[in-house]
Formats: sequence, structure tokens, C-alpha cells
Amino acid sequence: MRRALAFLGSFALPLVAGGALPVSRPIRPKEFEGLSKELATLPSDLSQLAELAKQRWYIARALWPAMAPPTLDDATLRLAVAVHNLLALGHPAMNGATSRARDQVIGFATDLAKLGPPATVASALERHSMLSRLGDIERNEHEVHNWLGTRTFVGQLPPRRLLRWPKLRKIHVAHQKRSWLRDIGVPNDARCLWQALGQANPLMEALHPERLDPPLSWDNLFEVLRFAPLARGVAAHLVEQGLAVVAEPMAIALFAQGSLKEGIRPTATRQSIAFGVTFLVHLYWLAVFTRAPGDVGPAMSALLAAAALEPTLVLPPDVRNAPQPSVSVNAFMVRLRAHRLREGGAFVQEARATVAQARLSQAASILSPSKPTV
Amino acid sequence: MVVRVAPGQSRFVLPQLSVDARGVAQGRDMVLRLPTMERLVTFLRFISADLGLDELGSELRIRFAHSAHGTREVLLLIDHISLHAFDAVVRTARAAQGQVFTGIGRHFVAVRDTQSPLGYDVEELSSAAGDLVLYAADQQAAFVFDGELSVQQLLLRLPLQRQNDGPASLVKKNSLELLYLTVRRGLGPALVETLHHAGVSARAAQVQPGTTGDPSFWLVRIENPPARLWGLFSRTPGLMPFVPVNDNVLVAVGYRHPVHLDACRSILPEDGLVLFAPPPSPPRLIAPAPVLLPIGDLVRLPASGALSTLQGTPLIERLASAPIDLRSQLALVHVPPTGEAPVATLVPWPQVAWIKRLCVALPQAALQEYRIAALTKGLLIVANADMQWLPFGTLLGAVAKGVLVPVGYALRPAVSPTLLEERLATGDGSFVVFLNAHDPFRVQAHDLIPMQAHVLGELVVPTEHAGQTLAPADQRPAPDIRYRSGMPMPLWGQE
Repeated sequence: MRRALAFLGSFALPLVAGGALPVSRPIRPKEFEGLSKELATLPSDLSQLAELAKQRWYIARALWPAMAPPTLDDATLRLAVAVHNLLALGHPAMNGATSRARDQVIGFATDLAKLGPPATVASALERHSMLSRLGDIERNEHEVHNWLGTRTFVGQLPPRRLLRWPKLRKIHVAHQKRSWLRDIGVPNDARCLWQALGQANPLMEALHPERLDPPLSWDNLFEVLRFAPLARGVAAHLVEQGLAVVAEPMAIALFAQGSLKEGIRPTATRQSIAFGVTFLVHLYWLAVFTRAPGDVGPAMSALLAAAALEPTLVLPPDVRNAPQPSVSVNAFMVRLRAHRLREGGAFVQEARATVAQARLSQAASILSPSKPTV
Repeated sequence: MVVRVAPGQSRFVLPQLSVDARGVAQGRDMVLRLPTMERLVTFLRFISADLGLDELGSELRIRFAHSAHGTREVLLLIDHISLHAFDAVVRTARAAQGQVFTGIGRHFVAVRDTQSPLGYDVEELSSAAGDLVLYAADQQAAFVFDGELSVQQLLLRLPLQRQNDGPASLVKKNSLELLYLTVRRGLGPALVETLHHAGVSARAAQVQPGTTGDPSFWLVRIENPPARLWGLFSRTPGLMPFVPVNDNVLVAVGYRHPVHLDACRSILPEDGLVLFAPPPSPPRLIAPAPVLLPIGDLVRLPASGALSTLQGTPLIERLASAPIDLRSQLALVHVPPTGEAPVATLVPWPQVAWIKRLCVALPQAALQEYRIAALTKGLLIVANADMQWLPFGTLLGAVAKGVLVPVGYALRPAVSPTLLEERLATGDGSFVVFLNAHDPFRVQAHDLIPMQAHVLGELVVPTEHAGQTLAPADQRPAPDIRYRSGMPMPLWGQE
């Protein structure tokens, strides 16, 4: 019980709440089994565990206010250990490790992270509450210059003995703060581990589509957006970031999803393409009525222009069937039709093909209303 | 608009457009149209990996131009494009998301593409005003030049990119044939003696400051430096190791230039030496290249009787004629009023109380613009353009950038403001004030502080404490990795 509590309090809590994030040697399979057994016996009223649950609850409630306090289950521990081992790969002492040893660390962490897509809204948010701050992790590097030369300390504070007598020894310390994800990056040999974490927590990708790594895939987005409460939360977050930033990569990823050029995907059905188109149009609707949408980029503009020709894709049935469209609907349609398809322009063919597939799904759903949808 | 070139076509509307052996229409010169400077740098990176820039054509020019639509774009003009480089330039420019045009003079048409394999011609020449007209399949645009930048200037302005380990990568190299070192002036003789005693083959010279006012330094060229000294070279403060890219270009160890400099031999000055130092230091251009002497000739000689005898020889016997010294000291003289507004004032301390009263009436623009420095002679107040709100104290005008003299006075000899600024070293933002010719003083830029920061007294505002706790989602600190030390790392798979 002592080791599990120490790990959760010293690593999982700062991973969520921020602050010093101690990373030691990678956790071995036997150590994980011990932690997992101790986890079942931990009382939940311990102060560190209560603080961890509270911080995770803050993160989850930002997306879904009705979320209950998250539980400390086995999936949580698996994700925390996987992230710890991922960060431990950058430990200076790991520079001398053999590639076989690194492969074993990565393989074990990947197995832990392979939880598959979340089954419920609560599980999606519980996983996201553990991993939501991966993009905020920083690493400090200290370069100590003195009269004898230079020494660099990565992720470690320089010892005090090196800083004594600064004037006599002409000591100058240069500090550099680097973002772990953006500046340092995931090690090349740990790509599979990073992808497994992304699949276990698809919210990470849905909330930050502007990140280039891993490449945005609607396969993962559908795993989140199929839950209506999460889709609303994600849409609000994306509109907050601005369509100028997020719309272009999402539209291009949807074109790739609809083209089937990369092989048959399990979720690349016509219904899912239609859902993707309506979701992006819904984002544009929110942006029009909450703030100026700005320049949405050529791909999104082409998609909106193609979708504007299909009222079934841009308006919900109750709005569409209303006898008299409201002023706001008319204003939205005017903004939508301002996007025009130019022959030979960028993304025109892709937008037409994607909208055509979405239109076919609408026709199919009319003919067979009982067909399952994504 | 443009029309496709038909097979066998030999007459064109565009001047001096001709066909090559394949029947492809192309002109003598080439223009690359790129939306931003970043794209131009990308193009130069790509093309310099394959070809030398001197192989592209007789001359490369970068022009900034704006079109009638209001867009400002970057144009790379290549005169006398060489035939073997034509396709490579087109391919690379498209990879950098640029457009390529061929032609001569002021009319250029798009080069061939998949839509028209033999190239394009125009229906009729445009009469639009402008320095350059570009004809493409979807539009034609006239451009007016509004700036120019040489490729050499661009190369010198691009900052170096740090590689993984920076200067420390020197100790990880397997072999090193040639290494250059820049050495601070004071360390030079000591390093030369160290290398001489270590039996290293090296040459060195002291490089005198150029027009930029940099301090002098030593340049050392070491052939086959022994590995035991690499750590000394890379970690000693004051030493900066460089590796040669070609005969006259050196790049700091652990850094790389965004463009492949070995392909830019003809762009960079051939008679000088260019040192690309790590950012934020700018590149250093030494022209002419210094003459490096063997370090055996540079080590100190022990004092001997012959030398002391030579030192006792009268000077007049050793020098045929002494040079005539034309240098004179600066003098402050009265001049007729020129009407230029004062830019600063030196307020004596008894009058500083007036400033305090006037601050209430000063407009916000003046408070934001004025900077002050408290000196023993009084309070120096400096404005960016015009000291119009404080008409007392000793009003000072600028005779050069950063050189202040009382209004109605000027400095003699009347050298150019540029030379005055250079000799008085006021380019760093400092000010040199001549209240009289014999006692000038300098005020450093960091001593001047915004006036508005000091006109407010202490503001006491009661603190209201929040009674409710909110989710601190955005205020939380970022997780900060702390690697634990003193702990053996696992060697899985080794047991």
C-alpha cells in the first residue's frame, strides 16, 4: 500500500495538478503487479488520493458538468505507469541503455496503454483527466558555465557545490525551459506507445486537432463525438480556440476519411462521413453566432460551399421543416452561401466527393430508417 | 491570358521566347514568385542541397514587390538560367509552394506543367503599369518593386540552428581534420603557448576590429587537433570552435545554417572570411581574410641582450620618416539656429521640483515617450522625437544618433553623423552628451527608464479576498519533469 500511495501521490498527482514531476527508473511488470494489488486496498479518504480525485474532477467537469468524481481504477493506474515509463525514456541515465532494454520498456508500457476506445462518457473523461496535461509538461535544462568549462543538467538541478563562489569561479547559469511535447517530442522508438495513449484517450486528439502529431484521424474523433455530451463539450472548446486554427486540419482529415485512399477503415462509413460533415457545419454555426468565424481556410471553405447545396446536411430537421425560417437561420445561410466553389480551386473535388457520400447516407437513412448509425 | 504552346510552334507573342530541343518554350531568365520569405528560405534550402547557387544563372536577385491587388510578395529573379538547372529549379520551387515563370525583361509567363507539357505563351502583352508582369493560367498580375535584398544579405541574416548537443557535440566526433577557434583577446597568447607546448600544428592571427566596432580577437586554425583537447576547446569560456564549410566560411560547432553553405561559394565574399557564430551573435565578416602565422613564430621570446640593444637605438634611425598626424579633438562651436526641435533636456536638480508639478499636466503621450536618468549633473530627460512639453533646463539637440549638444551648438570638425555615431559607439542606444567640448559624458541605454513609471506615488489598495474556491484549471502550474539521480536504471533483457 505504501508504494502505490507513494507513486500516486508523487507522480500521478503532479501529472494532473502540475508542479515538480519526479521521474525515476521505468516501472517493471512485477512492480506494476504489486502496485495494482495495493491499489485495491487503498482507502479513498487519504488526503493525497482525495486531492488527486478533486483535480481530476475539475478537468472532467470542464467538459461535462454532470460528471461524477472519477474513480481510481486499474485503467487509471495503467495510464499513469505508461506515461511514467514514456517520460523515463528521456532520463539522462537511459542514454546508455541498449536498444533491447528500451524496446522492453516501450513494449510493456504500450501493453498497459492499450485500453481500447472508451465505452462510456465517464470512462472517456476519467482517462482524459489523467492525460489532459501531457501537452503542458515542461523540462528545465540548466547549463552551468564556470572557469573550467560547461556542464549541462537535464531535468535535474545543478548541485550546490558547483554554484559556490560565483564571482571567483565566474559562474554563470543559463536556464532553458522546454516543452516536453513540442520541443523535445516523443522518442522515435516510442511512437507505438504514443499512439496507444491517443487511442485510449481520444479526447486528447479531439480537443487539439491543430497538433500535427499524431496525424489527425476521424477514427479516433468518432470514438468521442458519438457521445452527445462530449460532442457538445468538444465543439465549445474548438469554437473557443477559433475556427481559423482548428477547422482546416479537421476538414482535410475528413476528406482523407471519405476518400478511402488509405484503405478501408472500420469507421469510414457513409453515415460517419455525414456525421463529420454535420459536425463541422455545426462548428461553423456556433462560430457565426458566438464570434466572428474569421478565415476558416480553403479546405473548410470548400466543404461549407459543397454542403450549402444540401439543406439536409446543414440544418436539423425541425429547423428545416419550419414553415417560416427565423432571422438567425436566414443570416446563417447567407454566411454559408458566401463560400463558393471555384473550378480548379483547392480541395473542390475532395469536398464534392465527401458531401456526395454524406448525401447518399441521408438517402439511405430515409429508405431504411432502422439502419444503425455511428 | 496564357495559351498552350502547340507542337512545332516557333513564333510566340512573348518577346524572345524560344523552344529548346524538346520543343518546350522557355525564356532566358526566370522568376520565382513566393508568398513569404520563409518559402524563399525553404526553396534555397532545397535547391542548395542539389545544386550550387552559382549554377542556377549568372545572377540571383531578391525583390519585394506589391501587386495591384495589394499583396506583397517575394520574387527571386534568375538571370540567364542555365538549361541543366531549369527543371530542377521548377521542381524545387513547386515543392516550396512557389510559382515559376520564364521570359525576359518585364514579361514572364508560367513554365510548362502537366496541363501544357510544352509550356505557355500569351494571347497579347499586357499594358498594365508595373515593373514586372506575370502571366499564369488563372490570372495575370503586374508587380511594382518596392525593395531589394541580396542573397548574401539573406544568408548573413538567417540565424543558425542548434543541433542536438550544441557545442558539446565536438567531443562526440570520431575524427576531426581541421578546426578553427575564435579566442578572446586576453586568452590568445596563453592558448598559443599551450598549443605550441602540446606540439599541435596550428596557425593563428589577431583579428583587428572592423567597422562594426567588435572587440579584436584571435583566430586559430588547428590541423588534426588531438582528441584530448576537444573538451578544452568546446567547454572553455572565451573559446568558440568552428568547422570550415568551405575555404572562406566557418560555422560554429554544433550548429548548422538553414541553407547549405557549401553551395553558396560564389554568393559569399571570396576574399574574406565569414564566421557564423551561434545566435544571438551576428555573423562576422572579416575582409580581407587574416594572414595566419605559425604559432611557433607567435610564442614569446625570452629577453636577450641583442633585443635590449635594439631597443636602445634612437627612434630617428629606425624610421625614415614619421607619419603626419592630422587628428584633432572635437570642438563645440556656436552655429546659426537651424530650427530643429530639441530632443532632450538636462534639468538641474533645483528645477526638478518643477517637473513634479508639471507631470500632472503632461499628456499621456509625453509620459509614455519620455525617458529619464538621474545624473549627478541633473535629471536627463530624453524624448524620441521632440521635447516640446518641457521647455526648461539645458535643451539638447541631436547632431547624430545618440550624440546630444546644447541647442545652437554643433561639433567641429563637421564629420558625417554616421561616422560620429560609429566613433562614439552610440549605436547600442546609449547617449553621449556634450555640455562642453572637454567634458562629454555617456549615459547607458539601460539607465534611461520610462518617465511614467516614476510619476505615480505609492498606491495603497485594500485587498479583497475571495471567499469561494473555484476550479483552478487555468492557474495550475505546468508539470515540470525532475529526473531522479543516483538510481540505477534497469537493463531489461540483460539479465
